[in-house]
Amino acid sequence: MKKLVVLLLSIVLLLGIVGCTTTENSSSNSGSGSDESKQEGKKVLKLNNGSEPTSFDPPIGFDSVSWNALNNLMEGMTRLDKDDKPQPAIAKEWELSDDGKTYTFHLREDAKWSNGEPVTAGDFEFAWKRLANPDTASPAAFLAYFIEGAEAFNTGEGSEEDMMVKAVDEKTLEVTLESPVAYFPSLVSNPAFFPVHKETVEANPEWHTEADTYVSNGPFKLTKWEHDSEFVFSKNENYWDAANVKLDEVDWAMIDDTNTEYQMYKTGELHTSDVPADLSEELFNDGKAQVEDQSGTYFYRFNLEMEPFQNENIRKAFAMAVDQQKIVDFVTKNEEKPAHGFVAYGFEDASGGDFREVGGDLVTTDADKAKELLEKGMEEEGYDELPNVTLTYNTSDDHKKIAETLQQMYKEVLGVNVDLANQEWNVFSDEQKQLKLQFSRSSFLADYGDPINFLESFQTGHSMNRTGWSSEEYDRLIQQAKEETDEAKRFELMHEAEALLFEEMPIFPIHFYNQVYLQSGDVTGIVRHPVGYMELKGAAIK
Amino acid sequence: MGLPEQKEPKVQAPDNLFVPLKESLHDAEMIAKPSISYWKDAWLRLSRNKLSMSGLVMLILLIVMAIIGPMITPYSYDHQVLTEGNLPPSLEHWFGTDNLGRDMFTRTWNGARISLFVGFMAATIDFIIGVAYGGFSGYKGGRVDDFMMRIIEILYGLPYLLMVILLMVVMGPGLFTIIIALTVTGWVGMARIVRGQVLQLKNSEHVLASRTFGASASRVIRKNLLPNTMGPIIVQMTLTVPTAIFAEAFLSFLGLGVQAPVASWGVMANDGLSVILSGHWWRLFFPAFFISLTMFAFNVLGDGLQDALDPKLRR
Amino acid sequence: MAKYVLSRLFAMVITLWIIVTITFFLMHAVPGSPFNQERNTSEAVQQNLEAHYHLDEPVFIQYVIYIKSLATLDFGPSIKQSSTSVNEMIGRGFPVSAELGITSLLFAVISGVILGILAALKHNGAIDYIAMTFAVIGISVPNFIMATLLIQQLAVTWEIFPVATWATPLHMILPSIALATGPMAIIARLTRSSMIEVLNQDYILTARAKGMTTFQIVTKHAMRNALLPVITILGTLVAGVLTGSFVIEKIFAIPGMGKYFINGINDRDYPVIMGTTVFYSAFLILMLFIVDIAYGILDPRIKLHKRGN
Repeated sequence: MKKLVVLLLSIVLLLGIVGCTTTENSSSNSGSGSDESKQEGKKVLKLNNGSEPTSFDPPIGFDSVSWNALNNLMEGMTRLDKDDKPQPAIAKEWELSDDGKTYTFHLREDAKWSNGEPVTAGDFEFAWKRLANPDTASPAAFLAYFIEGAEAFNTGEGSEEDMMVKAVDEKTLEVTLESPVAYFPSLVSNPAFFPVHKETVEANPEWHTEADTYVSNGPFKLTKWEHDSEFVFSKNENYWDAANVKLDEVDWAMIDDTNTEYQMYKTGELHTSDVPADLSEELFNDGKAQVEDQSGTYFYRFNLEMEPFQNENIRKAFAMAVDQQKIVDFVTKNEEKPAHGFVAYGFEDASGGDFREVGGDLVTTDADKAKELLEKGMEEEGYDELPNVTLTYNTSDDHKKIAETLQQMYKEVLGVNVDLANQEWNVFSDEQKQLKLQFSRSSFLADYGDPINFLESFQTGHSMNRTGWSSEEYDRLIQQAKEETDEAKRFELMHEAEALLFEEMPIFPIHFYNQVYLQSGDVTGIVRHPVGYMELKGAAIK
Repeated sequence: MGLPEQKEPKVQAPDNLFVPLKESLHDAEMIAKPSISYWKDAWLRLSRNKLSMSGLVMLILLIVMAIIGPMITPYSYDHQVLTEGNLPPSLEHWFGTDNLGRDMFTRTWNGARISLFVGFMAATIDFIIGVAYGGFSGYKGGRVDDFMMRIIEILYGLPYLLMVILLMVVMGPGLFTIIIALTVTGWVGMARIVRGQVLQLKNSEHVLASRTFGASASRVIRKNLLPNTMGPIIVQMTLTVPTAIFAEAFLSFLGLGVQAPVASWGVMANDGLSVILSGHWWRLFFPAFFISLTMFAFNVLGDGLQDALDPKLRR
Repeated sequence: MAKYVLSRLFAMVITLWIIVTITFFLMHAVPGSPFNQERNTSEAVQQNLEAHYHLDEPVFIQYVIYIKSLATLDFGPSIKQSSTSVNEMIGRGFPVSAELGITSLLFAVISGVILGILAALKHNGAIDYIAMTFAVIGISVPNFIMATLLIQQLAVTWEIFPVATWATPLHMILPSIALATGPMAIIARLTRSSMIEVLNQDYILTARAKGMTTFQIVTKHAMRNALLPVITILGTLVAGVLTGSFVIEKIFAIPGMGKYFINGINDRDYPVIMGTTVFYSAFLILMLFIVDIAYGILDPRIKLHKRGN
């Protein structure tokens, strides 16, 4: 029997290591990883890309693991500055026609590819047509639809010639849009609109798969790419603004696991890191975690084709029973801004007001009103008892936490027992699109910097709608906003549309996204845009 | 090395062998001791093994706690107090609270229900299918064995994750789906081990003797082969329990399992992973400790059973 | 023997073909698509993508196309990482996974067998209990917890080893240990149990009576028989460990093959699912075959070429 006690004790001890060590370590300081780079005399920034980039071919790698890095290899007509405003980049200037539809970009004389050849308007024409070409099968092709003739070309109804982008000469590009788009200069900073070196691409379709064949025109060039392991950027001497690029090298690791990433950050093997879920509270309290906005919304979709959510009042009851502030404070603990509208913060209107602030809170937490609305809705539908409600989320710890909290809120506020169900992501995504889910978690991240990008999602039949909601009035408002040239009026139309969306409440928001990260004190100048990708052009390291 | 038990069979075997044969075949089969006395004997030997008995007691305690544990606290397993998240163990919350302020003691024992059930069920079903399949395959040998082994290879080769996702889509979540998912390939390891042992033993004298007297395949497997392969079988069974507990966590990840806010030990251990960094050790420690304890109890019990069931060690 | 090997090889091809066929239709039966994105895309874009990868054809036609290219050992391009072919993925990942796998397997087998034998020799003694406690912990602490603990202790706190990635032999130590503890524990348990049985056999007593030392008995007589159950599980273990562990590779950021199995399925990257399945199955079947051969060699009681009654 003594042996048994000894055995049990040793198990306890071994498992106990878990506990004891964690507390003493959590307070130790963040790494100072610049020692190594100092020794070499080179300014090396060590980042983590998370995983192997999907592709460094601009129209193909339509995700952040590709475009965050690519944004620093290539450069489009414009580049976003610290305040997220488009600044001349490869284009030194541009003009807009009076009808607001035709842009004429004038390229820099000194813009060069990493192989020394000049960047020409022809490269842009080639690249943009390639983006829309159905044979390219670019998942980002819809971004080109702003250009006249691009959608027809992409859907196979039109031809390449009818896509209205044309190199007038070596250094002048003329592009005609379907309708006036005030934010087009900001849009073309998107990696989908990056040029490609025409001769290289035509000579070797596999040019983008290896470092030695890769030709870029941005602040950095790709010097090493060990697939699934790491890649290395070094300063591109041929870049027109090379004088302002302060880093010599950027080493990108591919670490998929946030805990590991954080531990490498602590030992100085990385200069930045994400924040592991359970540590955010502590790191915020210590002032180590930093936050930047990200233009996107975490929200829930009702399915209007399934009971009981065909009823507007029941939808509103479910929306108003939720306390966004509580979720942000106690559940996600990531200092997100609670969302009471759909369009995120950060979009300025003509008079300098923020779209979200002007729009105000369109849904508020109100337990009493929620109960009242639920009763009213049940009466309208003739329910004695509310049909079963199942809340579905795709598997992830973060989504689970929020779902569990919502479940409790509905129980406490409405007295409704909601079932939870989680699904593997791909199954979830399929079922949500096919309107098979009654009530499901959703998210939206903006592809370009304008409120219309958020709001167009809920037009009838739009691929992002996924609620079964349809409103002619709403569709009309969105269409009008897209054609409106007057900025003040355009914003008014969008406010009207958003208000209508919340009038009928096919969705309700939880919080706006943000980017939380840890960064070594030696690093400065990395820009993380709310819409857009990481900027390292101005980054420096002590 | 002088193990005292070793001498017994040497003395005992001649006694059995030299019992005069009766005429009829039926009586010939009676050479085998009546099975009641075999199990009785096994139980007697098991009950004398203190360590194994303590394993048995531990298992019973775990099961009892799984039943009453959630009831002896004033909290329910799913009641959140968001302002009281991540509290360390105290008089109020014996095992602390989790990130949403739920009582870990209640959650742990509520999770024990699922984990223990899943562990037991998986081990039992794997045992039944694995032993039957492996025993038959090994005993028959030849083409039948070849064919049955190819089926096993196919089951091994198919991507499990894919099968499970399809299972989830077709059957929907639930405990029954979990058991199916766990056993659809789980028995294969057991079958291969039993088959290997049977191949090894089927040509030994006592088996030949039994076959000569006309015993059926199932009788030979049950009476002659299985008792002699109990060791590896029991080891395999004890391994199945924790494997099943963790596999259940993985299946929950695919949406197959019991749905949140219920959490099994495996899911709790998974959730608690990043607490290694944050210092909320109780969220990982308690589920991990009880998984280990279950394992430990199964192991010592298994060891005792192995000794008790081995006919060579009979008194 | 030659005839047996030939017939087994033939059976292997058939088995593989069945696996390929089932997997192919299984994966198309599972909901989802390689182009599913939470973000916005348009119908036309989806159709272009499907056409690009021939996913708009009937499944049976796709199957025929796949079998044809498989006959030339061409697994096709990955859909998710469009610039990489599945052959390249396996070519890059397998050596890394195999390196890690062999290291940890050696560690697991050697320490597992030694622990098991020691435990059996000192049955119910102190060593037995210590060894089995190790085994219990090894099995019941899953490798992702083990890995995180190892990093936390040995890499971050003590800074003896690097945290992650795959560069020098030093980088290999922590992941190898993390990957080896589970199999080691299993091997130790199995070895101990069958060793105890074998040590009770008559021929061991005979050997002892002849005056052989314990060491001689174990190495010459007992081990051969005691290791049979270990060999049984080794076949699947080798295939599993050498083709990569998703969790360990993820935690230690090792560029091995493990992630392709899981990510391929999560992304519904059909060519990757098929490629990894074919590769893994072929490897596994080969291992099981070798196990059967090893059985015949280790245990004279089992004859491979004379089958049937």
